[in-house]
Amino acid sequence: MKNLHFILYGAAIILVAVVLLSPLLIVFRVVAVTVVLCATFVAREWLGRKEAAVVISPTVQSAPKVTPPQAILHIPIEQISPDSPKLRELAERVNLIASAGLENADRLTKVLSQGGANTIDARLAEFDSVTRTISDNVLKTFNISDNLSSSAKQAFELSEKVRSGIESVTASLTDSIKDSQALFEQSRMIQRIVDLMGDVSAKTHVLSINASIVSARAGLQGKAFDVVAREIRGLAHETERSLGEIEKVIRDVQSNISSVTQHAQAVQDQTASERQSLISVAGALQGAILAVEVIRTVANVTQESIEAQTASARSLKEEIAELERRVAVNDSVRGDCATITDAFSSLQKIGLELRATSGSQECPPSGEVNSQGDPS
Amino acid sequence: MAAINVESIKQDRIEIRVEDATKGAVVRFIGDIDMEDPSKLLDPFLAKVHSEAIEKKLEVVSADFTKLNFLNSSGIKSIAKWVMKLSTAEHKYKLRFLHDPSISWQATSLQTLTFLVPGAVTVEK
Repeated sequence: MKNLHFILYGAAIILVAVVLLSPLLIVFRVVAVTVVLCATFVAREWLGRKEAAVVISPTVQSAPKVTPPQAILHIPIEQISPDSPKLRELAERVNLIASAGLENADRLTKVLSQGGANTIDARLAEFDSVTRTISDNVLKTFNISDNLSSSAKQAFELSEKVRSGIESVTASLTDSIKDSQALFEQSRMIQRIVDLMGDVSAKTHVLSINASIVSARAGLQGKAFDVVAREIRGLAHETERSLGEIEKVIRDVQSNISSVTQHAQAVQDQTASERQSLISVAGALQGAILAVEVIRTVANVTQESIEAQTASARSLKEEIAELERRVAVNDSVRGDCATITDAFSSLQKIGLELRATSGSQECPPSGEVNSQGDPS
Repeated sequence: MAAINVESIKQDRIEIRVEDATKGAVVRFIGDIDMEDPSKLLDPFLAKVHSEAIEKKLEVVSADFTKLNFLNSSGIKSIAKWVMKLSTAEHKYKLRFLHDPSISWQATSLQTLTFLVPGAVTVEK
């Protein structure tokens, strides 16, 4: 490219020399100068476009990550004319900003490439999956413990109901035993009355015998009295027999009452024992409810920990996303810097070329620009 | 100077007393914990016992449940939370639960609490 440029410029210089050395050919001189100016313009335009194309295309196509950062971002200040202090200052500033930005970008890129954003993402996804599983298990534990607690509560209520029923039966049995004892007492009272009646009957019998003896002593006059005495003796005898039967029945009743009382007492003892067992069952069930509550408390604490971990993972994910965004921005800045640097180098090169080309035409010192921003 | 500077509680049907003991303190529960939300009463009380035990670097804190006839499910939650605090405590004291084996719920439930922080809690008669 440079060779072509020198050939064109060389041709132009030769033409200028020829024209100047031929004062006779005025027309030819005018044409020659025009041709030289056109050639110069075309050469400058063409060279400029080619340079720009050479500069810009690699910047666009190449990834900033693969290009050494210092090579891309460093503007060669030593090549800028000392007559352009503002330009030098600007270039220095650009170099400073670019190197600081590059440093950050490199550090982030290094961190992300070392840890691997994808690896971190994968690990976070794995962590998410594990916490979801744990959370599901905790939920299951909750449900199971709810079910257990509900069953234990039902069993507890049932045992309480049975205990209440047994207490009611025990109370009835106690009343029955008391009634039986009262009945037994009454039967003994009847027994005493019967005994008294037996005594009366025995005495009546003795009296009737005595009456018969007295009537026998009285002879015929006592006969009627003897009949009465015999009737009374018969009645006493019947009474004694009836009283004997009553006594037997009373003894049977008393025996039955004793038996019922004994059975009732045995049932009462048994129910008291069952009641105690039921109290233990109810207590054990209450203990089971409490144990389930302990499990629920642990599950609850676990759930809270999982929620905290999940929130922390979410925050970490957001921070990584933010880092990736910053890296992308830095990469973009680095790309822009590279473009600027290259464009600046091209501009510098063109400026030097132009200065070299137009040096013979007594141009003003380099670095000065006109109102349009073009070199004069 | 008392081992633990915590005020005793007497409310409804429950009385909780804090007493000094060899190498530590005893928290005695007497009566029934059957109120609707015992955590309002128990949580701050047990938190205070815990922080005092750590501050005074007690070796043992005993919880005497032998006179506690009834404990509802909300009540044991507060006790479980107390036990779980031991797992993260900077000073780990031993927690002894004294129980009456004839009170069935104590035998069934208190043993469960020993699994929360293995080695830190014992259940004794």
